[in-house]
Amino acid sequence: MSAPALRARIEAAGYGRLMVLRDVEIHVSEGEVVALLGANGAGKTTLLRAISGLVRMRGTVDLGSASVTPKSPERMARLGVGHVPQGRGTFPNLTVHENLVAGAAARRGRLDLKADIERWTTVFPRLAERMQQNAGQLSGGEQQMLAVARALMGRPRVLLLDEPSLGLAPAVVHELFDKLAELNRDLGTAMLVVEQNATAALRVAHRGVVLEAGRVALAGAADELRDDQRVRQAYLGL
Amino acid sequence: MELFSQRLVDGLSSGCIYAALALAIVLVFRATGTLNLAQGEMAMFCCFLIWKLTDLGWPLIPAILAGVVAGFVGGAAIERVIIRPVEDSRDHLPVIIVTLGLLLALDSLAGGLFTVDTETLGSPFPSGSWHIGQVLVPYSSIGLFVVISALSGLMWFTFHRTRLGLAMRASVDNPESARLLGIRRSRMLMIGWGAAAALGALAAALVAPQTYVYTGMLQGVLLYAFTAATLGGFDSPAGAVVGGLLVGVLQTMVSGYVGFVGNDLSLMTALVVIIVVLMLKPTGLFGRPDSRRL
Amino acid sequence: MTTVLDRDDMTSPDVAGLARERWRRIGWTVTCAAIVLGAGLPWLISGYQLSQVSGALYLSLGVLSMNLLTGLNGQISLGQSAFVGIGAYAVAILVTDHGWSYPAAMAAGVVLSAGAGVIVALPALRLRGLYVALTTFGIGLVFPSLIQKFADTTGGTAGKTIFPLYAAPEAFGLTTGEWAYLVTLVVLLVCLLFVHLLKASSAGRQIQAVRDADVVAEGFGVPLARIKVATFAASAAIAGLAGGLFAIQRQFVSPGDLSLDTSINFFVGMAIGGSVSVPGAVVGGFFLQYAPQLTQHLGIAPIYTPAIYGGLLIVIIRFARGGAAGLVRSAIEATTRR
Ligand SMILES: Nc1ncnc2c1ncn2[C@@H]1O[C@H](COP(=O)(O)OP(=O)(O)O)[C@@H](O)[C@H]1O
Ligand SMILES: [Mg+2]
Repeated sequence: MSAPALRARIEAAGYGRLMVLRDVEIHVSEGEVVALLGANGAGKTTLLRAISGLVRMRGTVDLGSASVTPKSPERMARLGVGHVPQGRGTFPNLTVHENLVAGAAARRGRLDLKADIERWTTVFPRLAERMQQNAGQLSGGEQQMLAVARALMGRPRVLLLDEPSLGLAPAVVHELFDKLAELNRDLGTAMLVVEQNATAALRVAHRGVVLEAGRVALAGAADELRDDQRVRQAYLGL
Repeated sequence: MELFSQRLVDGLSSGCIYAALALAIVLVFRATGTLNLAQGEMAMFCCFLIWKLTDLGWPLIPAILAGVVAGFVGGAAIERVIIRPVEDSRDHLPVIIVTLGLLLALDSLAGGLFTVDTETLGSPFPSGSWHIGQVLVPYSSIGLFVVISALSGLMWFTFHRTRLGLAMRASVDNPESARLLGIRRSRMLMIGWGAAAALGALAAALVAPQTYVYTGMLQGVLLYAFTAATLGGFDSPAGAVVGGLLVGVLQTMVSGYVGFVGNDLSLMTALVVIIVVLMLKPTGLFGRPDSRRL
Repeated sequence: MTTVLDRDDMTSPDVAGLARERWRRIGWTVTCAAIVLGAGLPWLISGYQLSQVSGALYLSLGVLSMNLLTGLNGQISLGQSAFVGIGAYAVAILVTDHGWSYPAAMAAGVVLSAGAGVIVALPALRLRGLYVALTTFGIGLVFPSLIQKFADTTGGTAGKTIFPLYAAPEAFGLTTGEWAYLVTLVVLLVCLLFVHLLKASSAGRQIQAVRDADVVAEGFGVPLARIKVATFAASAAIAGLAGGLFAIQRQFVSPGDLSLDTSINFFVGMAIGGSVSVPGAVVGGFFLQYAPQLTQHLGIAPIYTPAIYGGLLIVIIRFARGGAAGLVRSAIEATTRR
């Protein structure tokens, strides 16, 4: 197996004196989709934010051959981490088009943004119809698509997605995860997807990791987890 | 009728002055999402620098350019050293208080380092006026209008047609997301403050022939400029210019025709306009509605 | 973004409680000593020195009005000098031109000030904090021009001398200065006590809940609008009272003493003493009174005094948001731990 696209070894991460994560290690191989599961408050968001430099941590993050301790999100973005934050984080007062252009901010040199934009609007046709509207006027599902497309504009090596299904209707969730699977297939982008909706996540993921109170409680192949008694009880509502 | 026309022209002339400073206010608001109460003092300080250089024998235009460059460097340095450490995208109060401290400090430093006297600065524009019938339109006002219109256009272009401008707007709209995309928010803030200070320096130098150069030269002007920015919409460069002209005309007309108001209450008029606009149409005439709730 | 991953330096609840107990004990001891000293002061120092202390007390009251509004309630006012001015001019005009007694004129000033506070607070309710700062900044800037406009009654820029003098009741055998000092002292103490008690009351907790989180507080049934307007009115009333005391101390008022700079100075005083601390207001007031003399004493030209204020404001916001009170508190906490 090749070197993973992302490997994070986190000794500690948290807010001020509150320590949320302790000795967590997680990796995502090239072309792999990993679902990060766990109850509310388990530390999933904190883990993603530590990787992208928004929360101070002790430990290292390896991206391909680079090994760093994340200090600033700007730097991590340049190293190829794309992060779609919980709650989507679109720019409400910028148009859809401007949101997408902003997504390429970390890339250098002369860019053919038109081609990129066209590509993602083919994947997410609903965005194409709304290019000149302010992002704040989009529906929740459309905003989530925009957030994903915006992150892809930066051509990330690994994409972190924080609860993309939050607040979306089941049909929209289904559509979104189909798109993610499609993207992963076509581009080979590695993805770490945080989800409370374990059914949706495990449907497209190759592997799953369960976080409990700031530690890795369980990890394994997606279909194994789907069949695991504990996971079934806790997250699949079976 | 002639009196009215002359007042209109006078109003537009002072309106240009307000518009010039309002542009700097809009620039900071656009680039950093906050208000700089020390905007006038920063401009005044640069203007003293320009005056000092001419006093040392520099020709006017190079002195103004030097002052503008000093403004940019100084503004960026102030952002980096003084503003940044207290910057908080969710709570504007600390930054406002710090700009209040800056206002005090710059006012007193200008008096101490330069002079507490009133000085004069030449105009880069030709003296004299253009006669339209009996109405006099000073060339300096025409020149000022041309310059601020050009600056306003340039600002609009930068914000809406360049990647730098887009990055600035994104950075104000959602600071965290912007950082996650690799936009260096700190650099945006620094450039925003620097550019606003440079703009302020230029504005001060251009209005100095009328206001003269002294520590309080822009104190009243600042309130009118805030009024202009409120009226035009805090995020609209074109609004700053139109707002400035409107405020200038309103001020001259009200002072001229409403005997009770006279000169003493024209600051009051400005304040009333601010309050009324904020109550009735907080986005001003040209501002875009803000989807954020702050 | 936050740092510090180790827990070692965390103050345990026990230590915090102990420190608070000590803080309270030290506080009351100092307060009692200060009151005794304050009451005896007219017999201890010269009339000139006493007038300076009077000035410090007036400034303390002005700072206290800011503590209530900005420190506890989180509303910003950069136009506090206007409310002080209303109180001061009410005394000057009503006493001199209309023959009112001083107490009645002061009471009228307080009412007018509070009314003006409500008028400002109502539109402020609908504005973002940023714009409240801007409008009150405008009010501070505009007030002197209003005085100028009504120069016939106010005396304009030249100021207005108040007549007759504010004399002490004959039986006391005190000079006007001594009497004004004692009145100021008593009024200040009453107001300090009022804010101190308010802070711990349920109304006070609501006031502070509004500061900490508008939206959340409203969710918990705090009547947001009412609290904000009432606090603004109370703060303006205290500022108006300060203005009345200023008038009786000086027997003269002029717009120069009530400019935007005065407002900013009150702000500085609040930051120096500590924005949420009641005793901090007194520290701030004395600072504002004596700092100019101190800097001059240190050989710094008076013109640089505002620069020092500005610099201090910047430093405090950056390094010590609790002001003097915050520093004392952490010192006590630090020594308690050992
Ligand atoms: N900004 C913050 N400041 C302090 N504590 C936080 C902050 N964000 C989250 N926490 C705490 O960290 C823990 C983990 O939160 P989070 O990572 O958001 O969990 P999850 O995403 O798994 O629901 C929770 O106990 C939460 O209260
Ligand atoms: Mg979460």
